[in-house]
Amino acid sequence: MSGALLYLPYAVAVWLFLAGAYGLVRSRHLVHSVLCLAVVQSSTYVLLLSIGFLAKAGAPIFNPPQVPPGSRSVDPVVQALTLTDIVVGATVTSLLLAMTIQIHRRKGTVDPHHLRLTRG
Amino acid sequence: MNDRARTVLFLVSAAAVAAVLIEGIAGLSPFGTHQTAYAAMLLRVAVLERHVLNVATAVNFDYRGFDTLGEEFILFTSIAGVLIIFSELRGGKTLYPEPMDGPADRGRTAAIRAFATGLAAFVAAMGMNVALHTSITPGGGFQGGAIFGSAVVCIYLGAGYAALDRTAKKSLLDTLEALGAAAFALIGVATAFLSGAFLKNSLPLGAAGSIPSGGTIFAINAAVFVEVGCGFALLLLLYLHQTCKTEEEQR
Repeated sequence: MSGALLYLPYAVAVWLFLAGAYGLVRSRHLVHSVLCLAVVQSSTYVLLLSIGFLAKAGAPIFNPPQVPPGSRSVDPVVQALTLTDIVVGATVTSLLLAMTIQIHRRKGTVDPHHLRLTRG
Repeated sequence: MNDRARTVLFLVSAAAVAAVLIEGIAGLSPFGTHQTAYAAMLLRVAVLERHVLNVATAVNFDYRGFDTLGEEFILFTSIAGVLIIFSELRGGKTLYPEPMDGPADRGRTAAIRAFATGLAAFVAAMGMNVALHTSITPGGGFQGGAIFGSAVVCIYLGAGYAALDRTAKKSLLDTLEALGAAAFALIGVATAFLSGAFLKNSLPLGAAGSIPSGGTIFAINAAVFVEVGCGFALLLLLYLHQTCKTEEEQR
């Protein structure tokens, strides 16, 4: 691997972020919007894990005597962050989908273009 | 704003954001060539200090345990939000699950029901197994909890909502989920009294490589498993409950 390829994983994260944001802007359906937000969020997983990656290194889980503690491993900090990120992301997505169901029952539409500002 | 103007506005601002992000990643080290001093230090000391072989677990529940506590409460609040929205939506109306001989139940033989029940038990046990081995394998409370919660789907697919409603009690799951979240925070408070610092590891560490190792790591992992497992099961139940119909919708 050389040159621009060494920056490809970071570029993928940027691409996911922008593609998800584009989907959000063009969305005509709230479920689609929620999924676009999930795409935006997944860019953080790609960015975190690619920052933590180390060539020719194992998982940060040691198994003595074959893999003694302190062996060359990828970054455990970003892995821990990604782990909680995924689980929390799933529950936040579920909250947004519940809101979508509520909007559908109340307003009869899930097209953001047909939703006016809600009055309090 | 029409679609065209919106898209043009997006493309202009996206170009600006992209420029900043590309400038940012150009300043990063090439992929796979650099390790932060923090990561290198943790990999060196985690096993010695905390007696867990899975360093990601040590980071999650100990070194960055306070962050995880914050994430736990995002999870808790989201699930509470879903609970509130769904109970407000059709609260007060009596809801009927699809009858056992309804369209969704046609074609489910006794063998399928029995298999689904067995599968649900297996999935639940698998979730506990993954959570239990947090200190020595890539398992943990978050992953195990997510697996545990999906047992609900097995019962739903194999036996239908009515059967699920009888087996899985929402109030029990809700209580357990809250207790899991509370246990995490209370472990923090208890360690603050025991050792003078919030979430400081102050239980006996056990032998590295054994299942109950890591002191408070193991206890917090158990609390997280209960919260995530019951939380996911509750979420799935709440969504599946939306398939029920009110009396007027049934007609």
